[in-house]
Amino acid sequence: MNEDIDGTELTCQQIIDFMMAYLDGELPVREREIFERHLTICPDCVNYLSSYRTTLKLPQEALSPALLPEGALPESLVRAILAARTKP
Amino acid sequence: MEGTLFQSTAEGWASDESLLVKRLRAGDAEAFEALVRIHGPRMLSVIRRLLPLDQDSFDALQDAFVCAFKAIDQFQGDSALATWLHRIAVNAALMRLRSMKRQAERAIEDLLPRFTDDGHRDPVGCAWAIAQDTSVIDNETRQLVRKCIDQLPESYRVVLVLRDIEERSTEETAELLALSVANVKTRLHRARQALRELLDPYLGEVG
Repeated sequence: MNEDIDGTELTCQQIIDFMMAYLDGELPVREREIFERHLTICPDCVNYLSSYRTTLKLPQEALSPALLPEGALPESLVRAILAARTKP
Repeated sequence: MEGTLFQSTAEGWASDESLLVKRLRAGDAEAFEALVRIHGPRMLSVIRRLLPLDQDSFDALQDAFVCAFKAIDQFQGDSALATWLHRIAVNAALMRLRSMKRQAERAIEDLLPRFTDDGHRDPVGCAWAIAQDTSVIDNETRQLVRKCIDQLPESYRVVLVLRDIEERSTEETAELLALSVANVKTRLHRARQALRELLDPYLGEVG
């Protein structure tokens, strides 16, 4: 992740290593160009990038507060919480 | 009868937050019970993202409410009560995580993509059937994502939850977990890769 990109070509493994930095806009211009050039010739990395982007969004979609399951707390837990309030 | 009366009072407080806060500040026992019944279930769900086991999450919820009861005078009303309680719940879960003896966890390397000696992915994957810009996912996919997040090693799951669900900044996450910023970035990238690998058999198109 923190290593520099050497040379003018990247392997798929390096592309994946640098993917987060690429998406966060943290790659310098030259490295970004090398990264994007690889994408023009490698459908597997294009697929990986697409699924990685989806992976960033799915947790928020699956666990956003508005979608959390609602239901009553166990009665014993409610009692324990209320009892804890009055403890010194 | 008493239950019905309490329920209607609690419903009233749920719709009139300022009245509930006023009663909490006055030390009204019924208001504390209403707070627990109205906000407890959602707070427990938030805590369970970080502490999936029942007993741990119940203990953290209790810690969170004790903290909220003590700090209610400091609640300024700048945000909704639910937002304030959400933050307290996350902090209580993190405190509990820190105090727990670290369990041996699954090695993240087992969940990362594999590569050939010349740096190609092995095996080569395929496109996902789900659109990356989707804003609505079905219930089945939601359950799948939750199940896969739960399979992440704890030290990676916590970073993913704070960054990609709680939307805390890298710097804030580093401070909350007593990690360096670089370490948070590394863990987040690995957690995302691992989650992608866990989801891949279900979301990857055939062929």
